[in-house]
Amino acid sequence: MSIDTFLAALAIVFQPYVLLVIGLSAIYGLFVGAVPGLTATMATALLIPLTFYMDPVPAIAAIVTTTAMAITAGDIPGALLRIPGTPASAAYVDEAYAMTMRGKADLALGVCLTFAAVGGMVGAIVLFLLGPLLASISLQFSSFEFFWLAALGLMTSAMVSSQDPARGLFSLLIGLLISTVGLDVTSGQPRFTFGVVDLYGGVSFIPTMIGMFAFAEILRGLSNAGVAPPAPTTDVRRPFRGVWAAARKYPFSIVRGVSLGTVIGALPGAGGDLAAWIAYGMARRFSKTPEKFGTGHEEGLIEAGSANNSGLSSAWIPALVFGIPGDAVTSIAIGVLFMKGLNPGPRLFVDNPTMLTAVIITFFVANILLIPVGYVAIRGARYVLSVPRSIIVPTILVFCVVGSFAINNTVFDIGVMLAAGIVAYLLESNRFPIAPIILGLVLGHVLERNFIMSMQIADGNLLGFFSRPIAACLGMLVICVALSPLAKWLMRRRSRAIAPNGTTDEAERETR
Amino acid sequence: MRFDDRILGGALAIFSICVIVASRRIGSVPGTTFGPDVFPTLIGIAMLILSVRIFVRAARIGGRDAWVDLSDWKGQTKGLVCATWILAGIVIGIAFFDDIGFPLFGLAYALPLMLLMGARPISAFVVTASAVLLSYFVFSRLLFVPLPVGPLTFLR
Repeated sequence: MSIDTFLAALAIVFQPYVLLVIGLSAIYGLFVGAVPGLTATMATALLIPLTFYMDPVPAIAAIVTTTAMAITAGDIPGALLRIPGTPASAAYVDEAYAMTMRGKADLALGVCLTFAAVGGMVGAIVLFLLGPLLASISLQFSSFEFFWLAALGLMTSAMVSSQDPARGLFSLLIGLLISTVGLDVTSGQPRFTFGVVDLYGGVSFIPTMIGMFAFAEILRGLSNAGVAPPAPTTDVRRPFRGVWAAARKYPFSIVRGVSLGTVIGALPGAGGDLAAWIAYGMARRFSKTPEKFGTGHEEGLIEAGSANNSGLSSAWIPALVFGIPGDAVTSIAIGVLFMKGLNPGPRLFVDNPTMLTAVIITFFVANILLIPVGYVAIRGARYVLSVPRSIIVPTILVFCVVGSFAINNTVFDIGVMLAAGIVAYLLESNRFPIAPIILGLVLGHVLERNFIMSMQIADGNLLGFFSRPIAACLGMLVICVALSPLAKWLMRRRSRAIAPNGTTDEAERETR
Repeated sequence: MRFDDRILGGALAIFSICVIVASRRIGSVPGTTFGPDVFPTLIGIAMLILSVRIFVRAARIGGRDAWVDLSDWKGQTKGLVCATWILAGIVIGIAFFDDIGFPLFGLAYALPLMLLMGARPISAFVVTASAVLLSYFVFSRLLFVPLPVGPLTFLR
């Protein structure tokens, strides 16, 4: 990357309009993340109708900032109320709450905030350095490699998003099926449109997402499955007290958390949530005092918190370089880029390096902003957590309706949002994950296009998919991921056979 | 609302068969081996395999006591009323959106919901009116989305 490109990108980012968007997104993300039951993905989904009208850089900056803030703010109700604000905070919520119970709420929140920012910065640096390098390699990719990359992202997401791989895969197939609705691009044949003209252009991505992440979550919140948070009793005054001492005490935890988060986040389909869970487990495994874990010990928070946000930043590596999203948020962002005519992939690094560099710079700005804005949010946590759900829920519903309408200016999309919300609610109640549906919806076209193209090139011979070295490696990787549940099942069966008097049926019932 | 996996697997299997049948009916392009029907058909087949797996495993292990589990909503009368209002309100809204316009729809939809959920009348009205007007002006004036105003033509 030339210095001219970098300076031009800086000039784009440091415009008052872009900075204003970042600032407002930060406040919005912190509010949504801090309210239990509202997730970072929901925040992003509700933001999309507004980003639809922005230029690409402020649009992506808004998504990046909102997500980073929401994920970090999710630690606030986790530490003060034992209710994770976002799924990523769930990995270490017990530890953070135990610290609060021991009168160390300041340190718990300070550690979460500081190392989230550190992790986010490192992830952004890796994206900045590795992105162009990987893009130059992937310029040599053919349809075979892109097919396997898409398949790898989808398969990983389906496998890690649910305890039952069959359910994860089924969710993924629903997303892929929805992506086929509309006129087929190559032949012009209508598919699953049932004569409805509004479906000829396909199922609108944004109303579907608003329905699945915001509307369904609201329905769930009204049932017993929802959370009814009590008012917090702890006041946090000095969140940064003791953070530096903790950093000096556990330097390896920071390095391990950041590295692990970056690697896991960069895997197509894995994302930051998984990174936080694995990092917390690793922290315990390698700790000199594992017995302190669960009793209010900051070591696990440092590792999981930094893994969380570094994974969040590095999830953009496969998203921007290959067009394969790392998690639900990046799949939403990819959808936004597609809508703006900027197809994510290696060509973007060649054709529009300034814009791409500007996007990466927004990661740094968002993570730097995390510290002061996060500090204010922690100080005002009591007030944010006291806003009643009776006010929040109807207000969100109004935004859901207007946001769904605004994309194509049609009432039909409000119906799409409603249908998607009901389907997502039913699926989630029956333990089907939602994230793979969105990934399938976004990547469906990429997967189908590259699959059909590869089949034509290989003349229907499936071995052709393994004819190129990188394609063969990726193909083997996909097969390994697909067969991993079978391997796990065989190992479990073997260990049961070794164990005397194993209560097979009971154990199997538990795994359901 | 949770269903027993045998019901779920069975229903999903029927749905998958419908997908396969509908996919086979998609017209193919003459002279092409891999037409627009190939990908959806493969999706349908994979769906069928997974639904059968869900069904068979549930049948082998034995399901729950109830075929349909409504425990999520047990004792949640207020939540149920709110959920019904949320769903019915949108259906009604879709039918009359152009006639009543967004501002009136937003107010008529969100205000009763806030009251049902236990908000105080005055704060409910103030918040609803502010949210509706704010979103109307942001989308209509700043983003030029042609939101219908209905009878409130003075807002144009």
